Amino acid sequence: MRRWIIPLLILLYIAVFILSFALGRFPVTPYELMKILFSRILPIEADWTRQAESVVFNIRLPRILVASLIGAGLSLSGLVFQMIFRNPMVSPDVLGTTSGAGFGAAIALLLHLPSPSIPYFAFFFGLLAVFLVWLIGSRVPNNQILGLILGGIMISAIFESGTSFIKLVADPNDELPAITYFLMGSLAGCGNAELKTIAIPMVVSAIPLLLLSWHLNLLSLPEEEARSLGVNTKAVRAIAIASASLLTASSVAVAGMIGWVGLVIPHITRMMTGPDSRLTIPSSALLGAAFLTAVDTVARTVSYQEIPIGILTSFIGAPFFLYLIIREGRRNVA
Amino acid sequence: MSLEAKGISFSYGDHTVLDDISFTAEDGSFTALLGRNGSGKTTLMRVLLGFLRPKSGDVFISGKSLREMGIKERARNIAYIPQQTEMVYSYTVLDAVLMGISPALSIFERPKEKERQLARKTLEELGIGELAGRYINKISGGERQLVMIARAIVQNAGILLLDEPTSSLDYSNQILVLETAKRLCEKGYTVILSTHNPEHALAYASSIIALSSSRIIYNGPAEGLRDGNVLSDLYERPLAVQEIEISGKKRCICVPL
Repeated sequence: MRRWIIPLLILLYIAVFILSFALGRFPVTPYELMKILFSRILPIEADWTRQAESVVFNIRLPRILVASLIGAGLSLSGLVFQMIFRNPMVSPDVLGTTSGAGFGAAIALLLHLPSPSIPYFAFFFGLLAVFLVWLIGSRVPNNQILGLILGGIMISAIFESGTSFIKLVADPNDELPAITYFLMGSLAGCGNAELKTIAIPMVVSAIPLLLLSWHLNLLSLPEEEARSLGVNTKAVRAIAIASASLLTASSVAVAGMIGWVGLVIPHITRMMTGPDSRLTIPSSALLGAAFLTAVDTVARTVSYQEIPIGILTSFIGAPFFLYLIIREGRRNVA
Repeated sequence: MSLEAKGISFSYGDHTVLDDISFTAEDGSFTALLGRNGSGKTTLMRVLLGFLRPKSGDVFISGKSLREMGIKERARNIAYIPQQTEMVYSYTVLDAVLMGISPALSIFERPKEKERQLARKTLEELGIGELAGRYINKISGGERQLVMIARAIVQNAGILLLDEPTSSLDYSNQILVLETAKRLCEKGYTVILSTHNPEHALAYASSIIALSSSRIIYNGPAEGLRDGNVLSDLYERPLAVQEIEISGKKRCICVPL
């Protein structure tokens, strides 16, 4: 096992973390950042402005942490879905989570509900979508995976039509732009409140995945082989789906739809580590966190007006994925 | 460990696939399962593995009913070697073999160094120790089948169920896999192997079960097939079995007439 990759990815993440503070409308140098961060636990003489401290703790730190959590969460959930569906082309929205969450957010925006309630609406509908898909899957007991995938396509389509309908009836002056902007995916305005909303569900749902990691490997075997090895495939799959869906729903709830991260990062991770979940789970989380933090830094610094991060991840993710497929296709022929 | 099937019937809807199947694979025996496509061989394998619940009848492992066993207990008694394995993600051979330890672990446990040593030792005993670090999708079909056998050994179950293990292998690898199965049988494993090649059954098995249109048409020692009648009935075409002896080795060959 290439265990040395994990410390390498931790270093990469720390580098991105520090760099992300240094960039922006109010740059914080790495030295200043360390002093400000450690002043909370160590007795350090304050020789920085109050403004710097406020930027670090109230604006940049929560945003970077939200970006990290979402990057890690989407990558991890993509990875887990790719394992349990035995298909490397699956992404975190395979079970309709993203479409459901988008629909929930659209309803909340249409009804002018107070903005702190939007994530909860998105979260609820995201999980509702997965629950419906699970019901469909359990109706096809002899080929649960097929049932889940087809159910996911269907439920996604229904929720997406619902969202389109909401857009149709939404007020084009204020409601429609708000909905459209949310669906693009953005971390603009993510702060301490959003961090508090997602931190607990995300950490809680990552724990069973870490504990199950070796058994997830077995789940990527053909169904009957896994069962002949004594794996209760339905139980492990249920835990994995619940955890991965919670990760996706939390991400979409605060940041809207951020595509491609959950598809591409697990691929790159496997290229570095091989398929063993004991390595891919921590590695994809670290790489995803570093990637999304880096992209978010670009999103908030490159132009005067912030670019929605969902646009950037698609711009980077889709061509990169195409490159991977072409490379893989060439290799298989050779 | 012995395996006993008692009056097993199974059907998909109205279509009967297994009709009152009874046989016993004694402890340490080598049983070959013969039958044409669609005769119910694969379904019988799946019932024996506990994947399918028979409509009536039951399977007993050393006297204990399969129905009373949980999935882990079944896996501690019966190991399954599929026709060929398709791994979407290419694990190393060592990691693939290590998966056999799963029935001995709880759901949140992982294999430790001791188990890695066991997996390595098993590969060496099968003469494929040098494959340990290779990726499973990059080795040949015959090697992969030996890896599956290594995984079954690590699984430490007394009964080995091989579902047409030679069907996608070249001639030399077919013999290698069968010889390996025979060796394991001599070490005390109970082997049940399904095959489309009656010569393999005659050469390696001590007892033979012939399945035709959902029923057992022959259940007895391999010698009982020597007159060719059972095989002619089974494959629905005239066949003769000839015993030949070449450099001290007795072999049966099957000749279509």
